[in-house]
Amino acid sequence: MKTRENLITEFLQRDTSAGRRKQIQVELENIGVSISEVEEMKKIYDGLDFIASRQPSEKMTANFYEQLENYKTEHTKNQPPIDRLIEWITDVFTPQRVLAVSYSLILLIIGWGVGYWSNSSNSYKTQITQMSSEIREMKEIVMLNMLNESSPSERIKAVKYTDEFRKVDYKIIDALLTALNTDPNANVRLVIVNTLAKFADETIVRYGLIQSINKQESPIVQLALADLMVKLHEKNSVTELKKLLERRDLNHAVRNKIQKSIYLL
Amino acid sequence: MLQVKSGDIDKLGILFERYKNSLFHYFFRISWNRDVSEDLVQNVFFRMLKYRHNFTGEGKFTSWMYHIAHNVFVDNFRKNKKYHYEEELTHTRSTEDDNLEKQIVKEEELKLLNDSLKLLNPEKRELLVLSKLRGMRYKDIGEVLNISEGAVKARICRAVKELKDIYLQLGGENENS
Repeated sequence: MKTRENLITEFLQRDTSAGRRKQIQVELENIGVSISEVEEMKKIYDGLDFIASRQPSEKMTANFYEQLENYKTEHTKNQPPIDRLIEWITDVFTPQRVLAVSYSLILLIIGWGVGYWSNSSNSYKTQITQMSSEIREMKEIVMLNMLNESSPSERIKAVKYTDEFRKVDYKIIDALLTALNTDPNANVRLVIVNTLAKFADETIVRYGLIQSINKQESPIVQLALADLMVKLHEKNSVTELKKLLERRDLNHAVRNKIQKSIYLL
Repeated sequence: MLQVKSGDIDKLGILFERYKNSLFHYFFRISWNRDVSEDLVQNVFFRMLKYRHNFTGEGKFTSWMYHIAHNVFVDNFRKNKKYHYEEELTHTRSTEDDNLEKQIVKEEELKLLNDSLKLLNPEKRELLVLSKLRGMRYKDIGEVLNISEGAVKARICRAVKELKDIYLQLGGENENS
């Protein structure tokens, strides 16, 4: 036999038929339950359909992809080098990129051949250095290709690959600054701001970031750039920040933040 | 998820895009705090990654995911004890269904219901969120919470009754003030 609570819960359900609901009413009355109270409970329960909620911010998505890339970097650190290489190859060498990579490989092999033929007396160390630099160039080509992928997560992945480049690479910097002003996805642009911040000692990077302030429409990217300018003590950004304040449609929170940033600078 | 389990970590991004909003609303309707909810959504996905080897693919993926979400919520609630509720929401969900349209309670009543829900114990609130706002079946809720279907029904009944009592009490107080 069903308990009183189970009967009431069945009564509350939207998909319970009118006929069944009448039966339940009778059963509940027989065990001394007040039907008016159950009707009130149903009204409350139905009202829950209209409870409002907020929308998550764009920052949540950007943070997720950043954390995911960090997780992968951490995860691969603990793997044997051969597994890391296999994982990198399967990750990066999607069919779309095979053509570009094949071209790079042919150049690489030709380079090796010519190098071996012309200077067979080169030391092993020199050859390794040459090889690393060629691999680096290959990675650079792959990364630049990935920045043009249609999926935002692939483009974020491309941006994160630049973490592997320890030295400043002006081709990469240029590609990132272009993407910062042209990529349609705010999350990608946000990750680019964070990545470029690591190269902020370079004048070209600072200049590019300052010039980008007024090209951004997304509040989250505007906030990130304002934060970065304060962190870098970049006084030259004040003019651009003031220009941003002139916009009538500027988000209220961004306006407050920019005013504070100008004050701090 | 099986692809994530087999090492294709990037596929987690697809699951994130598919379920981030539902998980966010689940946490928001329990905590009423956007920052907390966003953090908890992240925690769910990284816990899924951590425990991916436990996913067998036999049951429903969403039940497994909400089971993790439930554990994330319980851990967070144990740590914080109380949530800092954000200011009132001014908008309401709209519907184009005529039958439902007739049932929409007035804005004041809805605000009262919002306030009442906030006074309910978060664990009971979670149960109502799963059953009503997420539209889960009792059997699936039972899997999420590790309890029997009968226990789910009984707890929902008690939660709705308590919510109704709070609602009437708050309504009475408003009328007297």
